[in-house]
Amino acid sequence: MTDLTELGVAAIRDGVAKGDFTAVEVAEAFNANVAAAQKALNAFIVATPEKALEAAKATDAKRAKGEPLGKMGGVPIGMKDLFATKGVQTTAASHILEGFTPEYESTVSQKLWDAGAGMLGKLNLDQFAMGSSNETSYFGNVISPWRRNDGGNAALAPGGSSGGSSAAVSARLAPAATGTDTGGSIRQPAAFTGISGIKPTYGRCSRWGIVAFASSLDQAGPMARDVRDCAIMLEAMAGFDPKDSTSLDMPVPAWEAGLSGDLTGKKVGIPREYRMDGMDADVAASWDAGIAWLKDAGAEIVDVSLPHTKYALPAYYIIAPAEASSNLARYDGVRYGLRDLPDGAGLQDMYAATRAAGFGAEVKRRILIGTYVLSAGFYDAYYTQAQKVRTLIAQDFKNAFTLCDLILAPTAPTAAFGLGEKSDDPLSMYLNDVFAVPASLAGLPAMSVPAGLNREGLPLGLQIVGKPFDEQGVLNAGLAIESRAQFSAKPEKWW
Amino acid sequence: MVTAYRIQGATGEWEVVIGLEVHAQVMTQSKLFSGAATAFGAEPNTQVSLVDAAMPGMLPVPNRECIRQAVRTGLAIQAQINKWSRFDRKNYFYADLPQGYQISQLYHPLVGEGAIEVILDDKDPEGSTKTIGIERIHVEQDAGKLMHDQHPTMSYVDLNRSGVALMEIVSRPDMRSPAEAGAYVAKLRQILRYVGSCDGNMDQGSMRADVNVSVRRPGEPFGTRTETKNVNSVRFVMAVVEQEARRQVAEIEDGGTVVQETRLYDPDKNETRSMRSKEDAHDYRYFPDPDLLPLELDDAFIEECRASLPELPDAKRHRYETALGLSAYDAAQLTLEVETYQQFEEMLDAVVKASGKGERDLAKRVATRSLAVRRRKFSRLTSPATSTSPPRSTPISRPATPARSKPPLPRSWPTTPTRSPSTRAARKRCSASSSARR
Repeated sequence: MTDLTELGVAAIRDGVAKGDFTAVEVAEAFNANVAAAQKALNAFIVATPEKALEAAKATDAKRAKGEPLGKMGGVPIGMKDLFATKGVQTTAASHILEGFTPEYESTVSQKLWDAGAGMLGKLNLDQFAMGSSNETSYFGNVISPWRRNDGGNAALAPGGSSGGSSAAVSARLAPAATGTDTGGSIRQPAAFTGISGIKPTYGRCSRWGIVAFASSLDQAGPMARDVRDCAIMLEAMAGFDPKDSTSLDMPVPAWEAGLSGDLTGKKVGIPREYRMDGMDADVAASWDAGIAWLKDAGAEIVDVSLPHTKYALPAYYIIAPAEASSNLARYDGVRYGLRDLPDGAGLQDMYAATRAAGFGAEVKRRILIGTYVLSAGFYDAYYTQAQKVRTLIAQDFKNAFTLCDLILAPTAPTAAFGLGEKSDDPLSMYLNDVFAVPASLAGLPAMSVPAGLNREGLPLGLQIVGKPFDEQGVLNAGLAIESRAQFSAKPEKWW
Repeated sequence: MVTAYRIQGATGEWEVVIGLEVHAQVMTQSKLFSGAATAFGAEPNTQVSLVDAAMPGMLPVPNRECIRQAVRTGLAIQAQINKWSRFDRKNYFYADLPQGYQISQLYHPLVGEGAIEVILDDKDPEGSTKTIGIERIHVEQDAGKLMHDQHPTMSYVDLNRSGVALMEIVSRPDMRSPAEAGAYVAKLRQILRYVGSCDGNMDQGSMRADVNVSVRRPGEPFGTRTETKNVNSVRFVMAVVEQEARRQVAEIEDGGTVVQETRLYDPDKNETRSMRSKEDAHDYRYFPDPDLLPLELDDAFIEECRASLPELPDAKRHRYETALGLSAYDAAQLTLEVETYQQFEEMLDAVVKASGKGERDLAKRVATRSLAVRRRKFSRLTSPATSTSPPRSTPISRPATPARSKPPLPRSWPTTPTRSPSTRAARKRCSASSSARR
């Protein structure tokens, strides 16, 4: 019998439906992998093998009765610990929410359970999704299953913030996982670990029940082993939610059925501003390969300009912290979560002690930045100016999309870096999101697919950005790359 | 004409300048951004949704009925309705504010410029009118309420009010006497009750005013103003204006200056006290709420709001005088309260039907009857215009038992022994008069 944990979403769904194996067998196989890897990789904050089994049993029972199994029927998945899950601790990888168990289920996770998926556990992440390496988690950093081919065993970053998700999928602890992307948090970890991930158009997936980082940017999406699996899972996650005022009131297209790697008639833009001085040679080479593959798939390649690209990162690091500083004000020790109450302390002392103890350094840094840029006298110079830049970035894409249908660029400027290499220098860490952030600011659908390995044997990702609502175009271009890149590398098991 | 109100200081005459910010609770079944109920007097923390308690990942969804009521109110004061408005977050930390911010409208309010006409002399309703400008009406969330009397060292939080919709109705600094300020609040309350957008129950905190007062020599530019928060009766508004104006005049005449600050009114001592100076003022870090899209209204919605308005006080009073031939005084008295005119019109209708005579022939007699009933009723009850004894010590009905500590709400924290007297006063005030806007 084949190793069930080598199967992806579509293969499990179809195999369970056909009766090649049962959903319980699948869940048990993945539960075992989760347990075996936990000590070495630290991908999960909480494992929930019983939840995975419970859902699998329900799927098997449905099949026995001849009932439809759902889009994700029999597929166990990992759930980023930013999604509120009823009865299961939800922490955002923070101390301040340690032990917090919601009495409600996020819309996206509920949709996945309704589609027949089961939960393997809550995945580790950067604290409150703030980070690009998973090093800001209160529960210890995730270790990437990947290692450099230099024979050393330096621990590498799985990317972030969805680093538990990327590590789990690439290490075969889960066939797929949820991610959230505020400024690259799905795409960059996907690229670092040789998997696929898509951030849909802002508003496709409800934000209800997802611990908020930056409301105008946060967007959930799937991370999986290939493009088809992403399409299947995104269909299950997306859809209008009246509980989220920013949710898109549009039907969810049949993305899986619409998959086609034939790009005849499509124009793909190559943004000249993304080709930066001193660009990593392997990254540049993978980008060139991507261009060739898309040409081969029938696309016409055009040169486009996104002139305000260099302002995107600074604008992002004003807008996202500004929103975060306000979104995180609710963690105050009054109603739930951590409360630090020194002897004889009053309300202000309790706030100070609770938030000092409950938030990590990076979260504090961003709250301070956000508070500063919104404060009287600085608001116009920072926040208003950043919003203007955001409008210009969106305009850049709009202009480019008069010349092309899709944009191709690297996902990240480098392959995975070693843990600790950037953690002392926040700016160099922030720079890792330089290619991912513009699409976030513009609310556009964007995907990372594996393109190949660099000279160190580490995965590199290519990013496709589409017009608003054109997830199909993005997925199709991803499929065209995937079928030509023939990426089959996986981390050699050492854990 | 009514003679100008002047404060006689040691060095001459002073004019008082008044602007009012009235907070009116919107009369709706559910809160501004959640489905939780809004009924007054419920057990603590029984009308709290996940959104009101600001649980992680919760999002606000605007309640259309709250918006509709604010638009109807705007139309009733002939105000500009802004078809594009937006919600902003006002950020500050306090235990009765679960989100750590209040959703309000700073930059783009729902309702713009309007005006109302107030009557300054009951005996001469037509000859003593003054127009008071209204700068804006915006909608915002109310905060919860602190309870300090449930535990010796801890305070409790009741979130029933958290997220309830308020209209903040901001006047121009157009009033010049306690009587004008009182007449303005009474008229505003009358309009709100006619429209049905607020029940106007000031003793329950459904309507309360922040009173901005400054003094100047007649003809000179505006002086520095103070803002007295959460004043909850017409009589207290008038008292605040008078006390504050006198205090400011005395301050200046003693060689001091008026400090721009937030003050509180103590009805027991009939004086205002400093709560917070400008230096201590919060930086609220307002910015557009990224959880909410801009509010866009179409013409059909606004027209529907307009069509739903009843006959308003001024029009009704005018009709009583012209069509029914009532005296200006009787017309004004009959139209003061919704219940009074309703009873009058029902009675008139019945008598017309029974007798077959015309309205005009019968109106005077019916009016006399109605006003007699009204006088009897209001000699027992208090109306805002004649209020003599709003409850002082316990205006909010309190449960006999302490707030339930059922998780996750509420939880408590100790009161600090080192609080400044003014803060303590603020806290006491909060508990006694429903939530404060800070």
